[in-house]
Amino acid sequence: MEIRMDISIQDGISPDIERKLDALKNTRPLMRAIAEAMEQTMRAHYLSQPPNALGFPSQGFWRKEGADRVIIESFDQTQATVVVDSVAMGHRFFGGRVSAKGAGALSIPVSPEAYATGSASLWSGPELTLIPRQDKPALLVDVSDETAWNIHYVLVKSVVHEPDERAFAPRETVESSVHQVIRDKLDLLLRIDAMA
Amino acid sequence: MNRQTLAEWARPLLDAIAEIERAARDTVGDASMLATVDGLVRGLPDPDWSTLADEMALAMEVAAVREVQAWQSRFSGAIQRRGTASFAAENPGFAGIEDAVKKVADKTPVASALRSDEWKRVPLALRERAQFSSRVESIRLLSDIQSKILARVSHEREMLATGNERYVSRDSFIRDIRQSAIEQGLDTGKGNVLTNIAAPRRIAMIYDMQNAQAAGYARWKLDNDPDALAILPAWRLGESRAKNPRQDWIDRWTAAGSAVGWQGAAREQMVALKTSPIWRVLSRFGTPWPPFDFGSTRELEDVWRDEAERLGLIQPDERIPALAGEDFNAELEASVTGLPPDAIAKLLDAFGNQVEVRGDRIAWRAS
Repeated sequence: MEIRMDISIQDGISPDIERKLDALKNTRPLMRAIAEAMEQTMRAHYLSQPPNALGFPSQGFWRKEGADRVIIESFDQTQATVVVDSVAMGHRFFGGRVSAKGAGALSIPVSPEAYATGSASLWSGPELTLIPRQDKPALLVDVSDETAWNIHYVLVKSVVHEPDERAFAPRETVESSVHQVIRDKLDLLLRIDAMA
Repeated sequence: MNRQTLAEWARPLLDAIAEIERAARDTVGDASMLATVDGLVRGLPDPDWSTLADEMALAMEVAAVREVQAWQSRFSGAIQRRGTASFAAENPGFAGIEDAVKKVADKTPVASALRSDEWKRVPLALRERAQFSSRVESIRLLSDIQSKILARVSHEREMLATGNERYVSRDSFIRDIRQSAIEQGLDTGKGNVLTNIAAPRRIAMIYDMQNAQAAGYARWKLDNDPDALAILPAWRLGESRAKNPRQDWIDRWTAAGSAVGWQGAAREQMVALKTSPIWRVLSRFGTPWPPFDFGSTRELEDVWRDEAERLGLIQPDERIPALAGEDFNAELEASVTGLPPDAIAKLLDAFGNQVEVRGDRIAWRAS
């Protein structure tokens, strides 16, 4: 699967500005500026996402796998490329089935403490007891309090994630920021070009 | 078309319409009012539209010609410029950020009992090319760390004992390195503390730092370019995202600025040219790219040229060359030369046959 957002610089700017850009002797500073606009917009998109729906303490998914992974891969005279360098965010966008490849089961956190920990293999809290159930997923439970067991994980063979379009910034937002930066920095770009 | 011409042409008509509105509003609503309004409607002026139409047609023609010319230029060999955004890992043929991958791949695992403050005294050239961790003397563990970090930055799937493949995640990295450390008897038994190489907290810090350093290097390399420096010549040390931010960054900035004579650096804000020596002095690790300290959440924000000019970091007609040598590796090699004999002796003492001296150069011996 592939997702690729191509934004033409020419679309969305006036013919007058386009003529000025066409007259640039060196367009690499322009393309670096465009990369900057795209990067900042994509980062802002991830950072604007609401906290998890469960109300658990944030693991910072949108920041760690989104904002922190937006990277300017390259720029040259004609193209600027910005990538989201995250397998996890790609999976979030496309969705799909995740299965327990290296272990017997996937541990799905169902308590705030487990959510903050991540996988059950990294659990460092009270000892967890495996509770097998007939025709139902097994549980990992803290049974230290006999009056109130605390379920931390549900063990499953696989889980299917639905595609989440929030995992990639909307085209119109990125496009708008590109054209805005061209308008805002046009005089600066022309001045830099004249220095060459 | 001229807006004033249009307004003048329409004024008699608009005035007459306003009079009709007044009549309807101010007169009692009976038959006489209807008769008044009817009379006014019948008397509406009929401005001559022919001159206006001529001008409008001309303006439309000019606009149409411009539009056609613009489209012609786009599809008749004119340069197409575009920005592209994509998911790196999911796209076919993607192999990670090249410079980040190279940064990790070029390292040599180096086992040593040195603490992090002792490692700090090892020449930058050697440190940057060493896969090390404070007080870790297991080459096997360091090799495991390097191969998994390399798989992470290059988005290569690792093969599991079950025959399945998977990407390296933060969780799987912590789990596997912890398991390897325990199997090798490296768990100090002191729990989840940074001094224990088998502790999830320590392993997570290794993962976060090495990924951040590889990404920081790749970004630094991308921007060590005269055209990038021309439009975005400076960095700002951004706000901390930590729950309890360190309070000493301003003091560190002041000390680093004084140490380099404020060369290319602002005193009143934590902003400096990307080529300023302040970054290396500010960094605990001696590198001009972030992170600048363990666990630092501060990021470098690009600063546009016009702001850098206002801060006096660059003159309006000034061009900034890329850092000397254009290749930091070349500079790293040079920094190794000229070490005093006792420093070389200490290195040989600390690292034994893992390091070798070749003429006036010193390097890790490939294991």
